[in-house]
Amino acid sequence: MDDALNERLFDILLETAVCSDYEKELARLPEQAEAPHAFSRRHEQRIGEIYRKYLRNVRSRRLKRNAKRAAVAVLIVISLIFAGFLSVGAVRSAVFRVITEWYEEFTSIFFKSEKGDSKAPNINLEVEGMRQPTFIPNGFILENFIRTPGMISIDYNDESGKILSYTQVILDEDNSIAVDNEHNIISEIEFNGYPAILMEPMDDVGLYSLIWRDELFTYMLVGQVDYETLIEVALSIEIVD
Amino acid sequence: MVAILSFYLNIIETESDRELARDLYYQYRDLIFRISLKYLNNEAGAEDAVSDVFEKICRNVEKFRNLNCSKAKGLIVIYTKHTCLNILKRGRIIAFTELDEEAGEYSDDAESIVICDESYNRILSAVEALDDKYKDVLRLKYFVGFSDSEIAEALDITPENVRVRLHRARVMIKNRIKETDLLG
Repeated sequence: MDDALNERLFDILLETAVCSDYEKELARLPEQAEAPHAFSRRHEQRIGEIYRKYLRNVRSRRLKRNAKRAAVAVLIVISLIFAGFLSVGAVRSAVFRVITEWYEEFTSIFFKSEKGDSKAPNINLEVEGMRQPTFIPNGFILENFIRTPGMISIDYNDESGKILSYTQVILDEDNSIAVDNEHNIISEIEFNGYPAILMEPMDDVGLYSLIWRDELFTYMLVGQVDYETLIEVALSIEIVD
Repeated sequence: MVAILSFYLNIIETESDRELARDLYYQYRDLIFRISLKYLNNEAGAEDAVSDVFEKICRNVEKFRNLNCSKAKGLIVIYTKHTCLNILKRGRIIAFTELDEEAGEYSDDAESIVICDESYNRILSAVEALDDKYKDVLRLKYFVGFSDSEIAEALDITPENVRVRLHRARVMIKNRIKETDLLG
């Protein structure tokens, strides 16, 4: 038998032996004590603190993960737009309205031209200019900045892990945005004269979202801030180059 | 062309996510306490160990999601033993030597081993005779299915140290088999 085969056999037997040995050891541990220990009040308090800290960490991690997920989803749409070589439309004169379609787990949002003549924009951010918030709430600092010909994405974070995320994107009016409707109250509003969607959280974590469209771009602002602050940030968006 | 842009803008926290750590605590706290009491020999210290283990479970709760009950128990027992040893070290109740420094005495010629029908029982005996610190890395690797970096995180050692311990454990087992061959 060659050395390599010996080694492989040894590995298999070792794994089996280790598992068997440990299973025997675990089996010797009694499942349930006859008289369970009465844990002290001090101990229970400490466990409560650890659990609360754990829940805070879980929420913070999820917030960051959701923000990344949103950014990735936007990039997917951008690639589809460029893959399709969209036609030029009378985008500048178009007036859009929001169309929402409700499904069981999400709501699909379209921004449709009322004239019906705006098939797709042929816009370049290099030409039309990048917009970004000129007001950022105290404590938030720049975390990520992504700029492509069709999208701007800027993430801000504060020390406690709260996020504020801004996206400016070119969307074909045939493209829809799917938003989670199980954990948000979704309403159609008018923002700054444009059709918009406001998503208010159903829990106390406070992740508000505002999505709107002007003649050229679709904007998404997502933040773990209160409603007034979110609107203040949205109103501060200006062309910066 | 209809592209669905999916993004989730809120906390989607499932019941199982929220309650896994708590369930593990209530299921195993008595077991953790009893193991800790054996190591530490006092109730207050054992309760501290239960808290420390629970903290470790919380930090690594995602690792428990795909473990069956037996593997979860196995991992918690290793966490518990490791936590107790750390408490003892911190309290200077007993002096531990860094056993990693003692190795190197095992000959490489033990690498050449011939597997025969009796090999399994010899290997099992050799595993049983191993020091706990070597057993634990083997158990985390084979029983729980952790990677080297996950083992390192569980035992608060470096991945390099994990590889060293795994290597030494194998060499010790082979040496022991060789010794029994010579004796037999």
